Amino acid sequence: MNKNLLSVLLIFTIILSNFSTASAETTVASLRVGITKDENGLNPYTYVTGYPGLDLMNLLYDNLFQLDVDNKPVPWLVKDYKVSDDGLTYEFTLHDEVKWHDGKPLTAEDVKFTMEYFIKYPKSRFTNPLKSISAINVTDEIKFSLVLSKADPNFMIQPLADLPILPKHIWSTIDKPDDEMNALGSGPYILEEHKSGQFYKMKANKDYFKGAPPIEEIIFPIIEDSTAMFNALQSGEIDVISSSISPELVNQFETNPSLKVARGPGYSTSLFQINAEKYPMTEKAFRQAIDYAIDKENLVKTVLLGLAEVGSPGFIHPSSPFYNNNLKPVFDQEKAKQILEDAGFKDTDGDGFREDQQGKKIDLTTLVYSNNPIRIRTAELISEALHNVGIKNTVKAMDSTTVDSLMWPDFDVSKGRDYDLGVWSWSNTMQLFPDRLVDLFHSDPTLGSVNIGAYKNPEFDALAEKLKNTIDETERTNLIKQLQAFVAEDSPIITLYYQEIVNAYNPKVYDGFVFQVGKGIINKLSFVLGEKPEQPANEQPKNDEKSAEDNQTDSNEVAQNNTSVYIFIGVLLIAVLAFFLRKKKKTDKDDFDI
Amino acid sequence: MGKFVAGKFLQYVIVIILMVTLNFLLPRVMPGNPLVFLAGEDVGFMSSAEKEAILEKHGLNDSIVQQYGTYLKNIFTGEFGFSYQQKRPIIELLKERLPWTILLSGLGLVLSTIIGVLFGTISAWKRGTKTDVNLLTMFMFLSAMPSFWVGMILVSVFSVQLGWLPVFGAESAWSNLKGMDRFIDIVKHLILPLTTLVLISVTSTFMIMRYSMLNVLGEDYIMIAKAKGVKEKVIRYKHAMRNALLPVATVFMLSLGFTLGGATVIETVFAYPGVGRLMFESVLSRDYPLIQATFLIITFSVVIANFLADLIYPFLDPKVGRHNG
Repeated sequence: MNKNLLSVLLIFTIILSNFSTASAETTVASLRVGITKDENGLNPYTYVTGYPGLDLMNLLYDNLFQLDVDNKPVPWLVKDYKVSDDGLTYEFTLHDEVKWHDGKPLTAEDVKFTMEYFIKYPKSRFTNPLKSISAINVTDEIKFSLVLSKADPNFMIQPLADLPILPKHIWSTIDKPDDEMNALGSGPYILEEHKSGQFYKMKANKDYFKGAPPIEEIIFPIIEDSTAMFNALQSGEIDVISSSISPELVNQFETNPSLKVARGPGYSTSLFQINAEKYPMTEKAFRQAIDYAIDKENLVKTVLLGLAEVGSPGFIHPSSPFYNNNLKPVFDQEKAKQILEDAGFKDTDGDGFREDQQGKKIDLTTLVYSNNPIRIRTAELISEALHNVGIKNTVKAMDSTTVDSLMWPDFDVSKGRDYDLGVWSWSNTMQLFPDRLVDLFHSDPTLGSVNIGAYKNPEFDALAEKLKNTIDETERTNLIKQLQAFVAEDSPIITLYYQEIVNAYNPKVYDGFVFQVGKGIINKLSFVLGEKPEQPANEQPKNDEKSAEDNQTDSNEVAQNNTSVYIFIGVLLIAVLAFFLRKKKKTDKDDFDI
Repeated sequence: MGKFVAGKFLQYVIVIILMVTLNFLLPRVMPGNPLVFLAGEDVGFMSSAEKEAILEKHGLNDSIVQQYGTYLKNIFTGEFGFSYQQKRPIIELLKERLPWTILLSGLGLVLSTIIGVLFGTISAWKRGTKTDVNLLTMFMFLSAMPSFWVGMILVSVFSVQLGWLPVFGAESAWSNLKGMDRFIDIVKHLILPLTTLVLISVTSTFMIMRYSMLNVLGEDYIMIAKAKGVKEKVIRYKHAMRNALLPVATVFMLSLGFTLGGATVIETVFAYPGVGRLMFESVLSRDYPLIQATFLIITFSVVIANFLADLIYPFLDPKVGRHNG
């Protein structure tokens, strides 16, 4: 009788406990997201870097529009909008139930104030895109319109999907925004605490206009060392990491049963930068030969273990709608030699390296950041490839600020440059805006503000200027494709690869992450309820393909996971061995002197 | 004695002036400037006027002499200014970081000195025996291991594989632990970095102690003590060890000065929020005010520690006092 009662009770408890876990899935009590840097105050004026600082700030503030997983702008604070046919007038209606973290309503006045404030106190990322606005008209609490002086095809992305709206009732009295620590916004989370160098703590904004967010409390511990970060994730001290996992560790994370790996295309573009201002790199043939000499596919295979896409010669990522698919990466060392030979770069003194067209020796230096092993390895392989075609060169790894100061002095391309070659990389915004091709390669420093290789081609310049004045989408696509063809032909840079983003997280704590192309799972959408499109198509199949292999190599994986234990035992063994060797020696020698 | 102190003091004033000047010049001699950290990563899309305005605001457009003047003035008024990168008052940053550094590096120094002295004494006393050789081998082995490697191995064994100790940080600050719980939490976080620090730094004390002890053991008075039939333990600890401690005390005082600089590598591996990491980051980001502040602290504490050592030495070693006084 008693036993029966007991079992009934047991069954009840089991059912009850099941219920509690089921309800825990809808809201998560606490999530720990490892970040790599202290980002200072998290308002639009004080956050430090785009990654992870901007992402953290975006959890506290809202934009009028928001980029979706495919980087298309979708209405966010805006409920309704209309664009005039000439692209000059935008009319907006805001959601009417939006409130600031202090309970005051967010109105069209706040939007107007924000735009004027950023003009008055510039912060280039947010201020520059506002310059095309000529008038802001507020009609009522939630309705306003913008008039542009010139149609801007990227207006929806920047400023509309990028500009954080500030609360007027707080910022109207602030005249030193750079020193302001306040981070009160309207976003899904509220900043609760920040301990410098240690962590940020945010709590859910229950009154969020899109519904209460799924996580009660997010803690962002700051862990600068990537190894420490990976260790913390594996030991369960944090639940997700903001940085991408390095290629050699991906396998280890994929085989860890308590973790889930999300992979997808990355928009960060790695390239081989050439100083087109310095002889012999001024010669188009010389640059083309460098392009032919480098095996990009091999770089992806050996350095990145396949976790990257081979670079398109026209710079633009193949997943972009503006990608010119006629351009294919080239690799042919014989052809490279032929090009050099034809252009007059011959080995006249028989030392195995080519001399320039006047018979002078060539000896080039490739600069690379010393804190980035992947780029260093890339630079070394390229160096070898260049040696193979007879171009003498050396790799020089230096700290990033020093490399920057040589390749891009004062971050102002009009101030010249002092380098031959470099392994370089541009962040993902370059791919988000295909117009950046103009900034990258126009020869006039005011237009080509990041033309760090001083590439110059009048035909390219003319096309680029035409693009600046074109709004029609098909014609723009057409022009951007032509620009890519110029880049591929003239080789001012050699696009090497786009490294994949590999994120890992503990799905038992939270599984609502979404992968934003070019960005990864740490984005606003991942932390807002109701914005859960299905996981990217490329994630699941990859895991499935792998599982077949995994079964066969199971024992290997286990061995890999225990590597550190073996190393530890190994060290102990060596110590013990040393101990015994010493002991033996002692019999020959009584006195031990140092 | 007074003359001795005054002379030493003058020496130190000159050293400090030199250090303060070098401290100003060194960061500015490094290639590159802090612009990208002041302006953010959109620096490439900024007009020259915007960049100029930023430099102007931080006084980086002033002549080097002007900048030096401001810098000196700030030192005297104790005004360290704002960090370029973290955009917060440096005093605040240091207040947050210094306690952790003192805890980790200070405790590390004390522990490694005690352990080094003890084993050094034993090793020297048993010179040439199995114990001596084993100790020597062990300590040499320890000193040959790079600190980041030791740290990584300890983390992956004790934190990742076994799960006994936390991987990173100085405490679980966000969990709002109080009293005893917080203390235990801090100790748990401290064990691995402290062990690493002691493991890699203990050898120097051990070697100095052993060597110094060997010298002392060769002195006549030890022989006499032995001849008188004084107990072995008394000779070892009272006659020999106390006299052999002098060089260890010197090294201890020197290291004490460096303690405030933290242990950069270990702090990085364990994400420990100490001064060492702060300093390292400040160098990478050309954060001039922060570089100056952190290096100044180290400079001053080294100088002060040296000064103290000079003052204390006559008391520790009567011979020094005799020569100078």
